Amino acid sequence: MERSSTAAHPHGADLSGSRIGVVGAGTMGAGIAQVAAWAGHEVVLYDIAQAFVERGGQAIAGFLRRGAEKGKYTLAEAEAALERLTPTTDVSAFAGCGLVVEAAPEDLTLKRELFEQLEGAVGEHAILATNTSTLSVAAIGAAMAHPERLCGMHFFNPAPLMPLVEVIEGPSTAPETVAAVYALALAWGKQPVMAKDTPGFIVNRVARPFYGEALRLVGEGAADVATIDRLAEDAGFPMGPFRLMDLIGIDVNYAAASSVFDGFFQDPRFRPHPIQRAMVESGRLGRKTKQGYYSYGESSK
Amino acid sequence: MSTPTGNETHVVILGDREHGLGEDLASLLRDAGMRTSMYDVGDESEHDHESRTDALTVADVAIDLYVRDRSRKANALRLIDSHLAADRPLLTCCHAGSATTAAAATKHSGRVTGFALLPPWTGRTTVECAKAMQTADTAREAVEAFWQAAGLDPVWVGDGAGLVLPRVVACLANEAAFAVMEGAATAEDVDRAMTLGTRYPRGPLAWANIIGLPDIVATMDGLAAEHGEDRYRVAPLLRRMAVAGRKWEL
Repeated sequence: MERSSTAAHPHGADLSGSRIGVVGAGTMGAGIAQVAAWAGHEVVLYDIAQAFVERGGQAIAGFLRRGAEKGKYTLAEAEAALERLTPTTDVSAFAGCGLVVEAAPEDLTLKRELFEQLEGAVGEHAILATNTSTLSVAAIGAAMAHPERLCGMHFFNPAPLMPLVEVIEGPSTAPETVAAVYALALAWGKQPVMAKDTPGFIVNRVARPFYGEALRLVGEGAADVATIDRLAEDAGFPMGPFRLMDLIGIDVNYAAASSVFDGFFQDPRFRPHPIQRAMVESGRLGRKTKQGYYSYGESSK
Repeated sequence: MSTPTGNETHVVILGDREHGLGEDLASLLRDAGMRTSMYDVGDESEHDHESRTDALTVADVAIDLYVRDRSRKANALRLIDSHLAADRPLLTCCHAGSATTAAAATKHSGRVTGFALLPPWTGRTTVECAKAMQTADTAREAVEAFWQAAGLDPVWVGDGAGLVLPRVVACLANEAAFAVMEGAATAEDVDRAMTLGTRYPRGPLAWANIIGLPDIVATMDGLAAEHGEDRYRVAPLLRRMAVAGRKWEL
C-alpha cells in the first residue's frame, strides 16, 4: 500500500553535469547555489539587483573559505567551486540550464511571474523547481505553459549543512520531473524524501504540535517555558520548543504556523497560539532581537 | 506522611502485564534498591487476588501504571485505595488522564499524585509530577523523596491528561499518522524527514512504536475528553492500527 521512497521511480532526465540555475541570492538561494557548485555543477546565481547577487556570492565565498581554513577541504577546492559560480541579474543567463531552482521571497504573484519568465528563458527540456515552504506547487505552476516540469525542491536552512530535501510532486508534475530532482539531490549528498503537495509538506506540518502543544501548556498555566524546555531536552530533543523558537525566530515560526493553519482551512489542529502573536507584535522575536521566550544579553553566546 | 526511601521501601506496581512500562519501572526501582513487585488486575485467579492484596497491605508506595485500559485503571485505583495504608503515597500514571480524575475514584484522595514517564527512559533524569486538586500539601515531600531515591528528579507540572511530554509526543505521532493516512508521504519518509529536518531524537512514528500505538490513542482520547477540542481527534488510521495491534513499518 505504501510507496517506497527509493525504488520504483520512473527514470527521469539525467541532471548530472547540467548547468544549474538558482533564482534568489538570499540565505536559501545562496546556500542551494553553494551546494550545486560544490557538487561540481556550473551554477548561475540570479537576483534582481547586482548588490543582492554580490552579497550572495560573498556569503558563499565566506562559507567555503571558512571550511577550508578549518581543514575540511583545501582552499584550492573551495576556489574551484567558487569559479563555477556565475552571478547575474539577467534571466536569459539560464538558457543552458538543465534545472533552475527558485528561492525567491514567498509571494505567490512574484513567483508566478518568475516562472513565466523562466519558461521563456530555459530550453524545452529544462526542469524547474521551487524551494517554497509555504505555497503550493500547484498554485505556483498554475500560470505555466508546462507545469509538468515543475516540482518542489524544499531545502532546510542552512542548505549546505542540512541533509534533508523534500521533493514535492504537484498535481501536474510529471513523474520524470520528480525522479530527476530526487536523483540530483542524492548526487548532491542530500537525503531526499518524496512528499505530496499538501500544506507544510512533511516537516513544517508534522512539527507543528511540538510548538503548538508547548504553547498551550504555557497558556493553560500548566508549566513555564524553562520547565517545558528542560523536560523536552531530557527526553532527547536537542532544544526544547521555546529555545528552538527563539533560534528560528518567533516571527518565522508564527508565519509557518499561520500558513499551515490557513492551508488546512483553519483546522484546529494547526491553530496558532495568541502568545505567538503577542510576542511578534511586541517585537520580541527571539535571539535576533535579544529578547524572546528568554533574554539574550549582549554578553551571552 | 511517611517518607519511603532506601532498601526498606516496598513498592507495588499495578499495571498491564503486556505493557513494557511495568517491567521498565520495576527494574528502575529494583536498581535503586527497592523491593518491587508487579501485578496485573486482569489476572483473576484466587491466588493472584490474595497475593496482590497482601502485597498492597504491607507496601510503602503503590503505583497505578495503567494507561490504555480504563476499567483496569479504575480497578487498580480501587484496590490500592482499599488495601494500601492510608498514610502511604499512591502514584497514578497520567499518560491518558489527570491525577484529579484518578484521585476522584479514591476515598483517600489526599495521598494521590500523578506522574508521567514517557518511554524510552534510557538516560532520563527527570520525572513529571502533578498534584491532583485533592492532593494534600503534605503529600509532596514523600513523593519527591520516593522519586529521588529512584534516581529521578521530580519536576512539578500542572495536572492534565498526558502532562507535558506524553501530550506533546502523542500529538506529534498523531499528526504524522494523519500525514501518512492522507498520502502526504510514506511512513518511512515522514520519519526520515522528521529526524533529518528537525533532529528529534527519533521519528514520531518510531517513537509511537516504542510508546505503543494504543497508548498514543489513549493520550489523544484523554486530551479530547479534557479539552473538548477537535484538535485532539485521533487519526482514523492510527486508531485502526492500534486496535489491530499493528506497528508502523519503517
